[in-house]
Amino acid sequence: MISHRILKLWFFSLSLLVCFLSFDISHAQELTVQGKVIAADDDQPVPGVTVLVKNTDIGTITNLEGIYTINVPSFSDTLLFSFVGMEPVEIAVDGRQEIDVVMEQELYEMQEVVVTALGIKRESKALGYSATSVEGDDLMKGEDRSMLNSLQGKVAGVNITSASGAPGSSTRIIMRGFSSLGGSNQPLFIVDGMPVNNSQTGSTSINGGTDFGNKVNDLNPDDIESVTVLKGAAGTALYGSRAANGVIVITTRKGESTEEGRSQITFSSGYTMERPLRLVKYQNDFGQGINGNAVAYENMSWGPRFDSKMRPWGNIVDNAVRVKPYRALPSNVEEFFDTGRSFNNALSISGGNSGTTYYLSYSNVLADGIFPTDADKYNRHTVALRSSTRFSERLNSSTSINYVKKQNSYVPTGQGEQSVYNQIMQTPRDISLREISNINSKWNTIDNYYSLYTINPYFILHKNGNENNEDRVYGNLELDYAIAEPFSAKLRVGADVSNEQTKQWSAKIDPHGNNEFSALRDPGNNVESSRYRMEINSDFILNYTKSFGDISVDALVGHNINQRSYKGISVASNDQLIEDFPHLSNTTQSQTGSEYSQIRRLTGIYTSVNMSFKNYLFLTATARNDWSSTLPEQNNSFFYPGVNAGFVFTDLFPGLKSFMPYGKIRAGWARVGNDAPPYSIYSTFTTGYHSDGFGYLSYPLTGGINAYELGNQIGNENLQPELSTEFELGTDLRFFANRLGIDFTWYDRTITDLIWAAPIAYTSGYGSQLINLGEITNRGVEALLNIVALRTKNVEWEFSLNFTKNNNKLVRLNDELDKVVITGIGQIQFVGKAGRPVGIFEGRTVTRDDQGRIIVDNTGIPKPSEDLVEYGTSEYDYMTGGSTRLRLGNFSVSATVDVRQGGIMYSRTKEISHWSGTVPRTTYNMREPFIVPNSVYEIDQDDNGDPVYTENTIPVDRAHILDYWANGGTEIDGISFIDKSFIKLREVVAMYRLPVSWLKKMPIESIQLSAVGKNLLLWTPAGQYYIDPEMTTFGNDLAADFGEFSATPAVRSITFNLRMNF
Amino acid sequence: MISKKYSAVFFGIMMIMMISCESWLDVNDDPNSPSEVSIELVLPTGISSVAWVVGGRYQVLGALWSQHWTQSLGASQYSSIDSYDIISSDFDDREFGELYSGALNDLEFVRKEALKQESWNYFLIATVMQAYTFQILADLYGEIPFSEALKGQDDNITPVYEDGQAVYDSLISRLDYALTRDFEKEDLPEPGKEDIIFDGDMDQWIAFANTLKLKIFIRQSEARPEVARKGVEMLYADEDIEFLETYAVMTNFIDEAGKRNPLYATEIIFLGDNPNLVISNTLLSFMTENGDLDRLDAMFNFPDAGGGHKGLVQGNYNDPDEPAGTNSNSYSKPVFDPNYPVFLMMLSESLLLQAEAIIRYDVDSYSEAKKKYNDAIEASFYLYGFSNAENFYGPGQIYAFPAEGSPPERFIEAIIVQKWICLANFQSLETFFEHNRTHYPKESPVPGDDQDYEAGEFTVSVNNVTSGRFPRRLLFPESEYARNPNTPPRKEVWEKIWWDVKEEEQ
Repeated sequence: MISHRILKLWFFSLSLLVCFLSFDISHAQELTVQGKVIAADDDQPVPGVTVLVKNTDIGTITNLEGIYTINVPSFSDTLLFSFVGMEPVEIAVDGRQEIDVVMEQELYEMQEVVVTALGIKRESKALGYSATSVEGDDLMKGEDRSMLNSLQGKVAGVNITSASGAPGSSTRIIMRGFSSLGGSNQPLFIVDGMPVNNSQTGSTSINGGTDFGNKVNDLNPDDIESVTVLKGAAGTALYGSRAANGVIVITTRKGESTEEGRSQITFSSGYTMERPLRLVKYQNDFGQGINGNAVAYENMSWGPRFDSKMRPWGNIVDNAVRVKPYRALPSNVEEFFDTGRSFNNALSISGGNSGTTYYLSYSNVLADGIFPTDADKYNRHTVALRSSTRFSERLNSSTSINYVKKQNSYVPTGQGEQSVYNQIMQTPRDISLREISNINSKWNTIDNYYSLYTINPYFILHKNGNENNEDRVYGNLELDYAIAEPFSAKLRVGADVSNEQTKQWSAKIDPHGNNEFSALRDPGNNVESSRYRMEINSDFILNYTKSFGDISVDALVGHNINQRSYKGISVASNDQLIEDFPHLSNTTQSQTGSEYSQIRRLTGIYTSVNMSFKNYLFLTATARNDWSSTLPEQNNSFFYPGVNAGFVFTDLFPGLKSFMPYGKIRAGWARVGNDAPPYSIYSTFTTGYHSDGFGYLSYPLTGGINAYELGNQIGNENLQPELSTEFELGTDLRFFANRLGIDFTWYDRTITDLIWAAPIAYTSGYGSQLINLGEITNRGVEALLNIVALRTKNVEWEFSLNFTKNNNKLVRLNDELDKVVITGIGQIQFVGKAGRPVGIFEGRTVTRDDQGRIIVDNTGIPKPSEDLVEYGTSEYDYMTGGSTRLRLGNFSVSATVDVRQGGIMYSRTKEISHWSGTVPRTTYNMREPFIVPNSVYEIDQDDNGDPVYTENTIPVDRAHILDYWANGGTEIDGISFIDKSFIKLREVVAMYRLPVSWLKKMPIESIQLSAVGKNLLLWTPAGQYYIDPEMTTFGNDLAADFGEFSATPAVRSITFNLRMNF
Repeated sequence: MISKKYSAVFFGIMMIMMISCESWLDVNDDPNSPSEVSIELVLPTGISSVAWVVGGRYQVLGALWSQHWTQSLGASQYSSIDSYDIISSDFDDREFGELYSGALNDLEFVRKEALKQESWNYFLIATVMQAYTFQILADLYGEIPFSEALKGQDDNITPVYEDGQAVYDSLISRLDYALTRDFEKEDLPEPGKEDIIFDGDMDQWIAFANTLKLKIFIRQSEARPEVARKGVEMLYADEDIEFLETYAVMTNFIDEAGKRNPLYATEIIFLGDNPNLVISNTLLSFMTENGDLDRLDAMFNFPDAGGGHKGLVQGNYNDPDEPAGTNSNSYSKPVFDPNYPVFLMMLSESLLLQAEAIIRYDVDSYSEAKKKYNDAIEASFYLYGFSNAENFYGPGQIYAFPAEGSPPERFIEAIIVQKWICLANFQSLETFFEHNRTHYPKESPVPGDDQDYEAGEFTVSVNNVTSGRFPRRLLFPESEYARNPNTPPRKEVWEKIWWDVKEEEQ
């Protein structure tokens, strides 16, 4: 049901529109008709309905009581009634002076307007490609502080994952599979026609990774009117080379003109509580120790079985030792985490009159995550101002300025003494984390902390830290000029400037006393870095719109200029002299600094011609040529055309409409080129630096010696752009009075000339060479099914199901390479191999003799193979999901479920849980000695020097059971992988809108209360009790699919929200 | 009319936007990295890259396989090396890759540019440093890419492998070519502090080049005795020949992040106070038995846990007799220091090479050989601040040079065993090669904890995966197998290098 308040808004704005339209109404001979329009479902009057005399520009709209009066000239005899969200009605006047109309609610808005490339609004029926729009209200009902997280589960063909449960961490979005091995796979984000930066700030280091989020999550979701997801090349080609991975077009809210210039005020406030969604499932049989023995300083759970007897634990300090019963603490890890809390507030005021409109908003998010202390926090403030001015009949301008202030702190992930969760996961099952929370207690100091191999996690939380501060301004200025029919022009200039200052510090760790022999020593450090990013973009577009009988043409030519620049400076001092004084000056050493700057430019010209025939056949041709600064001069110009068509066959064959009110087929083909990373065509020298992966030597050396070495990569002065070609077919069908809708797309995308830093033999003097190689294909289907199960006056029940299947294939590499290594840890590699999907996991397995028996070593532990075997791919078999919404009067409930099937990932959380003996699997055989089934060992060698094996009789004893599991048991590297499949109850929203009648005496138009649960439930396959498989610590592109290295646990949350309109 | 004014502004802006030219796009020169650099600014990285690997990872490898050090209990960073469980991905990117695509390639740039500019001082330095590095690689792998190597910019990214003998012969001729340039040429650029080995002293580079030639010839003493003899004789035929009388050493290390000695940077700073490397019983037993305690105390710390020096039988890092939780702190660990230099060639090595040359090929007198030998020991003691070396090499003392007329093998044994002591902790890889060439120190027929074990004899690692065989080489790197189809077939770690042909002494 449409609220009266919104209707009123429509009424005002439409009156205004009609005023303009009615400028030149000639007063010929006429008949005055009046009547009332009511809605079929609730018999209430409908204000704001447009009433037009057919084939004229004479019109009016209904008033608040739904009443209209119109003068019908004698030459016309038909009235058209139309209103957004309702089926249009056409009625012959037949000389009547009073005509009442009943309007039916329209199930699907056939005339749905979609914002397409370059901000051009088009009817969705005219598109020859798949475009999904999500309205701001739909996006906002989940009350997520991240705009991208709000999109989760709502769009087919798009894989959106949030990297971790830490507040402000990044969200990754991949459409229609991976298209680039070495370049970006992230879509381009457009806000009000202007590309915006979506870089991620953080580090993927396994020794303390950070994730300060990606920049699109800076947007205030309350500012968003709609989001359109353009997945295929046919829809995105006009955006140029950065659009090869899809485009997300965000349209923000604007002020609306009202007759009396009235302001609209919206206020919303929410409070969120978070708890870990998935922690590792632990064993509760064995406690602290190693080899079955109790060892007081161990960080492992390989000790004796629990017996609940009182025993001392930890170190003896001042001749005193603590005593506790030796038994499991099933929730010692869970109780370590706090309840995360977050306040979200947003206020906006908008309005306007016939000359100008404005929209002003402020929002904030104040979040503190699940780690104790405020070491994980996220504070964001946004201010947005948009206005439009009508200078003259022909010239309009609009401006948009946004300011974001963001501060966040992140608890590092990974291994080593920087990561908190790493210490948690190595806590023996009988040790209470709460007992160690007071770092000033004599038992818990660095010198006396119980474990020799880990650091008190509370020490890290209190003494180390980081803070990322971002200031960002983005916006644009747009001028629209109606030159003369049929020509108009548009100029849009925008900029996105951000500056980030990051401070990171870690305390000196220098244990003495009980922990004198600890290997965990750290001189501490202070790092101060700043990153400045700027993007400037300009589009000039000349439009031509004209109808020729049944054919109407809408064409444009445009010119685009884009420049992106970056400058980063980092200064570090590599120890800490004074405790708790994180400052660059706090060092005994000289500070070291580094700088990096980058600039890239691109210019392009483009054209697009849309033709429609009788409003049911649509044909669009596009073409663009780019010149990029990152490519060699002779190859820097690249051209790519595209064509697409939409055919609404139900308009051609109206007979179908009885059972299929709407039917459309569409087809599109397009190309997009993608340029190279900057500075990749020439070989250069780099400052001298040597490392063995642990320590390093960096120039300048002492004694005033600086030096440069030949860069390790051979440049390529013949580099070509990557070329992506995509064909898509789709259909959009509605049945049974629009109660069933099916939207189906099939696509086939081929990317050739992939730019890749191909590793070359070091003996050539270099490590890699940038080349064009290979071919990737993504073929898949996307389907969306909408069902209206129930629709009465007060009850609505709708379902929506989506399904996506993408088949990614690295068709070929080149003659020299049989695989490319994308990333890896230890012996585990994440590779691309010809004929397989991008992102194959390889690792060692057990060695077997020629009879297939497992070969063990002299401790009975299976030997790892020298060669790597394939373990699987990171690609999902399919993604599906659904949502449902039930409305009962003013109350509604909706739920979204996400399903992912197939694919594997690397999980260090799983690996370390086996190593530290904390998970149920490690209690196999109650840790009694066992012989690996079907195994042999080498007893001798034959005359050829080949080994001779005999049946294994060596049990894995208690002294080696840790080695057995740390080695991966009979799975070796396979033990580190988990199945990525999951079913997630992504979002449940319960919403109540106070009846308007209650508010009549207050200056409030509406009040809405909601409770939102996010990630309430997570189902994973049996045995996967380690993590939420969406987690990653490897950035937000292709490498992120590798998995996680002790990622912060995911969270579930509950939000209570109040939203008011004045 | 107002709209005309607006349209003028509009089109004005439009015209500015439309301006585009090629120079606007010409911003692809990397502002972060220079595209041209002089050879003076490249030479130091070429040298320090060698020092970083030889004084870092290769020192650990050499010390474990020369039985100076062994993997400790309670940690496992180097247990696979110490059990000879070497796979082809070991010693790949960080060592083999660093040397080829770092050191050798930088030195090749200096060589080529210096040749073009006839800048012979730089040419000689780069040639010597390259020859030094190529020999190490040839000795570790047997066959290596050489004449086709380092030509990636000339489109050869799959260089062929050449056998070690061919590499050796080419190294000699390269050194000879570099040594015979016109160093008297006018205005010849003279290196200064960018020569981080000899600070621009070209006489030392000539001496180093000669000593390197001597080392290359002597390494072939068993495999190509005649080549070795003729080579040595040729060297000594030149009456003015100078061999290295000082240390070829990089000293530019201080105790700051990124400026430290490589072993200290990794073992102490990164891995946390060296939890992995402790003295091998092979070395400890020899030094203790011979009362060589001053040097022992200077080279190894007493156990942190207290007590006198304690070593671990080679490779016994899972010693079941030790209580659970025993770690490196119960053993003597090698002294690492942030300021320690990296020795490319110690004075003792040069002197012992000369002593061996004289004894083997009779190119000088017995007394001269003895003097070189004694000086080598003297130099080693002096390095640690002791002047009592004569108590060890003096007549009748424990390390005394064998008497004139003793069987030749006794001289070789004395020389190589002394080299094994003198180079310990700093140039252990060289003593690994020399052990494989000469089989000194001897290889023990019994385990290290056997009552018949003789102090100082090599014992095969307790946890060896080679059925009791000693390691003799590294395996060709996995990166080469993946990227260079010319890589030879896989070998085993116990397969000998071409010059390792000496028959076992019965």
